[in-house]
Amino acid sequence: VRSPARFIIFLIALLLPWKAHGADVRVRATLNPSEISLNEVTELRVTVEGSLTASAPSIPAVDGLEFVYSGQTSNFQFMNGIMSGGITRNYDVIPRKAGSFTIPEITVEVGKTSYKTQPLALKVNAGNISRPGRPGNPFAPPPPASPPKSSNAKEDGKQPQAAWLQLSYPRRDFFVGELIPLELKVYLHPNLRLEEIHKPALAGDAFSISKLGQPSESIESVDQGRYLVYTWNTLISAIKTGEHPLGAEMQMTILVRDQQTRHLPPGFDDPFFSGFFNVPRPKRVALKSLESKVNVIAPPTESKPASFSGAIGKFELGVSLSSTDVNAGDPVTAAINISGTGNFDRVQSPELSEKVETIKLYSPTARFQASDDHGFAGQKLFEQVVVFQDPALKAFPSYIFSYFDPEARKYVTLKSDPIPLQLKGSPLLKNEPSPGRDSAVGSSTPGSAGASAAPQAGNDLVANKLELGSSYARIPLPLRSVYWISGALLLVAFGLSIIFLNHRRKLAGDPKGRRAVTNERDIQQLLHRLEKEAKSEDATSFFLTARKILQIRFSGHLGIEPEAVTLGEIEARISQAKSGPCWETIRGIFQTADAIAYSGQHFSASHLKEWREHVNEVLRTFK
Amino acid sequence: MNRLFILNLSILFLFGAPGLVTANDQAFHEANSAYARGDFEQAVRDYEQILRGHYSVSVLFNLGNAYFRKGESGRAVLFYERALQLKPGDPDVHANLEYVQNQLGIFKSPPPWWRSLFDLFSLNSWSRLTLLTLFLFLAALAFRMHATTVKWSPRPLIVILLLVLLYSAAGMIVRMDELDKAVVLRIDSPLKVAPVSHSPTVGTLTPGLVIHVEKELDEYYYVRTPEGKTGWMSKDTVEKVIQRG
Repeated sequence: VRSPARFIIFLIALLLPWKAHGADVRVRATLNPSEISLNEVTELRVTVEGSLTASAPSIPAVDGLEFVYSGQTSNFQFMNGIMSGGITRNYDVIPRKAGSFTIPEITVEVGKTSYKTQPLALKVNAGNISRPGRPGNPFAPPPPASPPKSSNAKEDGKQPQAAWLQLSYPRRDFFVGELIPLELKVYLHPNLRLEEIHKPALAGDAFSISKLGQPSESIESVDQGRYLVYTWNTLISAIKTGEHPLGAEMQMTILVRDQQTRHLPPGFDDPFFSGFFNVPRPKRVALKSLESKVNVIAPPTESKPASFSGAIGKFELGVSLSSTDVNAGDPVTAAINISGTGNFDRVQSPELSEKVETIKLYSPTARFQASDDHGFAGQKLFEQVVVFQDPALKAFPSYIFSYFDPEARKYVTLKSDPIPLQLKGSPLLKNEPSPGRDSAVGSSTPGSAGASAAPQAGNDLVANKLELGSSYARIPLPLRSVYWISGALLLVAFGLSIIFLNHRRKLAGDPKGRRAVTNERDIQQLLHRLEKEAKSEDATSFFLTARKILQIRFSGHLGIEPEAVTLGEIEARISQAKSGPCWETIRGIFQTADAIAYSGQHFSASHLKEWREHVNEVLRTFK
Repeated sequence: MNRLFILNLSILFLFGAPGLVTANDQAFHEANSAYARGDFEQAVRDYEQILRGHYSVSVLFNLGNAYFRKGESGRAVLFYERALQLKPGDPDVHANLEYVQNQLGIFKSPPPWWRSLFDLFSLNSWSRLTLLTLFLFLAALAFRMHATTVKWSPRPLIVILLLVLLYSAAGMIVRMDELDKAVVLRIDSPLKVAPVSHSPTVGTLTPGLVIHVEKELDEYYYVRTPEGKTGWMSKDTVEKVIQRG
């Protein structure tokens, strides 16, 4: 990602106009920090403001100091069509001896002009400077050793090694079950970067290793060389007695940045350009540490306390009661806190130093709170419910906890202080039988099923029920889909009824619309009757029905009752009817209906069917 | 065909059903006898056999007693909880549950006062009541809207039904938390940080402790203890009070 960015900056620097060279160019050098210890590295920054094309500074040689180029940063601005910006080159300054040093002026060429920085002072102290967090760290390694020969190291001892793995642990003799802090350090040459790492494999089968977390990164100087160091702190546990090798092998992928600058064309050999072409390539390697013989022994069996449960480390014991002023029979909680460092998984709940018949103890619960990433340091809290059955009891006895101290090589037994009690009430009788209870094994009280009296929790179980009782469904209703479907159907039915009701109400509030619906229904019924009358050649009924149909249809147009609709009304008030093609049909039906009862005129079925078609045509015309 | 079916149904109704009840009664009596002579292993087997065909408070209660006598207090609590799910107000079950939990060092604080309002019925009863009152409420509402010419007003009835509906729905919702109840079965059951076997533990739980399952993943439940502690528990160490399926 960085290389394309640099390339773009480079192109911009070439293509865009710059402020006049030399006019606003400033060069300065800074040292941060200006006071270090012999085993530390400080950073020198040479900043050129006002130009992106300044040459690499010429760093003067200083006896006792080594300068190693570590990269550069660029910045630029574009204002009013003019580019401005600068470039900063960084160097790691590695001290080779203690003392006060002066870094002379550093010369930088910008175009044809030379610029010089101010001299810088650096103080190098001989003693090691304590780093924050290191004192008291149980993972602190022994003093740095020379790099061991690893499978990756060259054997001639003259050229520096590219990478190696180093283990550090506090002692060379351990106890079975003990958790041992282990520090793994991977030293990498500055041209290498760690890409991926696998869990280390320990030599032999006498130890198991905990998971690795994220490593810390630092720079260390070893044998005149500067190395990037990845450090992991973890735990190992000894699982077999005897003399065993302790070493590790780590598979990892590292990024190797090849020195390709020499292949670049003349004029492009500045470190600024090397970033464009120098692409790191991954390489899978296996680093193997030196193996040392360590001795694993079992904790001694003689003088082992009865309360020892396998805890190895250094622990402290604290006990408190939730209340000391209670009635006999009331439950109180004893909080037993074991803190320190060691194998907390083997720390079991302590026991009372003496057995007291009138104290009832329940199974404790356990909770562990680690104070580091590995569970090596922390505190384990046990909470135990206690019931004092006799108010005469004056003190809660001590808890006893034993562990093995691997440093002192002996068992240590911790004893809490007795806790004074102020109990009230009357003593509880042990195993007091109560009526209706299952005090004798297997006895049962008839009729207990469905008992209405509410028994209190007493000294034994309520007896078995003797009646089988009703059978229930095993799966509750809310877990069955049929239940929710029933509810949904109810709501849907209600919703439909609301829709139907609204429709009815709408019709009730609209008499014209309601009459239209009724008329249409009546017309449909009369048309059926008309067809039957046509078939039976009942001309009298036919024409009376046809007139009725027309009266109903025109009543809607005239806004009067059907019985009041006459031929005269239609002729007078519906001009469309008189002038339209259906007028003859309308007049014919009305006149025939009036006259047929007296005239005795006969119509054939086919003739009546024609009349029915005419009626349908009138209905279609006057909707 | 139809006649044969009706005949079979009649025989089943007249003779078969009483016969089944008698068989269950007999098995129940035998299980109680095994319990009475101290053969709790046999009693547990018998009660569990009966439960396959007859899931009742009495069988669950006696099975809880048998498990307690057998030394499996966690399972005893589980079956008492199952009995209470069917009959929340059963005093015998409450007494034995409290007794066993006290023996295990579990002392429950009394429930809030309002909880007793919803302990009247089981989850099933609240569910039925909710559905029934919903039906009646909607029917009354529809009747009021459709029948505009009736002489008496159904409004008081609607209000009463609405109140009963709200009460029963609340009872159903309150008791729905039973669906996620579970009981710790084993001693020192670890509560883990992650649902994997090699995960570090945040503590151990006592058998007989009633916890709530919030979610599950593969072979683990994510649970919350009454004290609010959360973590993952293997399904081997805990069992839900209500089994789905």
